[in-house]
Amino acid sequence: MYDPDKIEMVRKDSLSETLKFLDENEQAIVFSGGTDLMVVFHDISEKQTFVTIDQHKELDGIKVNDFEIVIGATTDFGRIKRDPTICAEFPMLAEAASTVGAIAIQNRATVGGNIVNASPAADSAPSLLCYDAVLTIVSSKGERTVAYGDFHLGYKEMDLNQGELLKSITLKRGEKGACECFRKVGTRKAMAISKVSFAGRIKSNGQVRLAFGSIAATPYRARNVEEFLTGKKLDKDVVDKAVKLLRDSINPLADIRSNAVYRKRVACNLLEDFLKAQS
Amino acid sequence: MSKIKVSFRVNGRAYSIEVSPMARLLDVLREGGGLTGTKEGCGEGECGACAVRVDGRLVNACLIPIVQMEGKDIETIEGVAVLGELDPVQDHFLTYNGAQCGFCSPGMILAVKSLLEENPAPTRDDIREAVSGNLCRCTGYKKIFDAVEALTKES
Repeated sequence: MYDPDKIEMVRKDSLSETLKFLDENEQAIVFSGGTDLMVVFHDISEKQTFVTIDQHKELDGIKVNDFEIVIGATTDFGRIKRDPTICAEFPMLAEAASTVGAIAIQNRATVGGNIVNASPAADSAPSLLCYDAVLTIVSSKGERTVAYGDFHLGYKEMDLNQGELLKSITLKRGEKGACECFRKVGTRKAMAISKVSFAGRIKSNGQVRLAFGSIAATPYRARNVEEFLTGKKLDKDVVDKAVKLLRDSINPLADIRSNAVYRKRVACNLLEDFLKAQS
Repeated sequence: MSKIKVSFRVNGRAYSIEVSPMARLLDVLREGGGLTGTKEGCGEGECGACAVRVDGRLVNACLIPIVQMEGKDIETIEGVAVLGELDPVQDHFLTYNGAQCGFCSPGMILAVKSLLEENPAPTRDDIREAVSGNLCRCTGYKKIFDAVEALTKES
């Protein structure tokens, strides 16, 4: 258990004050739901500074208009999994939300924290990649957007600079997904970090999206396999070639949860299952 | 670190305390409030022994810094029985032996109450999922599921 007096926790009333604080304090760590951070800093010896953001309404909530759904970064997975628009139009995200930890974790863990913690095993990542999510990032200088597919640059490295805060995640509505599937493979049905996870989506216009968690240093989009499959009829030959292409493209690591052989095999099985289910 | 003032309600009673902002809700309840019904099992949000309800939603108190509880309504196991009358969930846990050592029971009962408020007629699978964040080393879970099923069948 940590000594609460060793940790500074800053709470500003306004978002602009928080952004100013982040500008001026390079070491400050943004604290959202805390389900990741409260676990990792048990062994703190040096002074740490956290900045809580759960009080900022600008970062919270799910807004729907005719064209898009905008999910505030501090929205928790419990609300995401229950949202009617997300359930109807972005079911893989709702499914992913329901696989995070367990209910008590979902009610605190935020989608923004999941993204910015940048674990390759992040449960929301594969579906957000398939849905071509766009991130809105805010700082004292204003706002910018970045395609989520371009956000992760390397292990725990991302397109987020000092003083910047993830504000929201935007998903475009109206693209009819012909078929989609999210699967998380782990040791248990709850309270498990994925060994491999997969989200696949084939849109009615033939466009393909395939994304994996836990098989690379970042959440992974199999762009070459997507390109190969686009517009093709999913007969046995095409499916076999696609699976082989994935097998030759990925180099999963071994870690405490799984070894490389298992990860590669399961990733290929998940892809094969998905493609076979479409034909 | 400097202390701050945080105001919240626990089991309907208002509190306003001077506290380190990073003090865990679990410790504020147990040490500060003397409400020791909420237990520490793992301190990492994996076991559910520390589960309480904040604004009606099940959460793990070991993962919550008290600063984020400003203005919240917190319910612990001590708030479940009303004026000495056991809640039907507690009553059925007793009748069906859903508790042995009792250490998981506070969190388990709050998880069940959360389920039943949302879904008064859960399937056994729904019950299983609702308590999937609450570990029990004694009962093997079956008697817990039996207790909840019996309660829902009676209602």
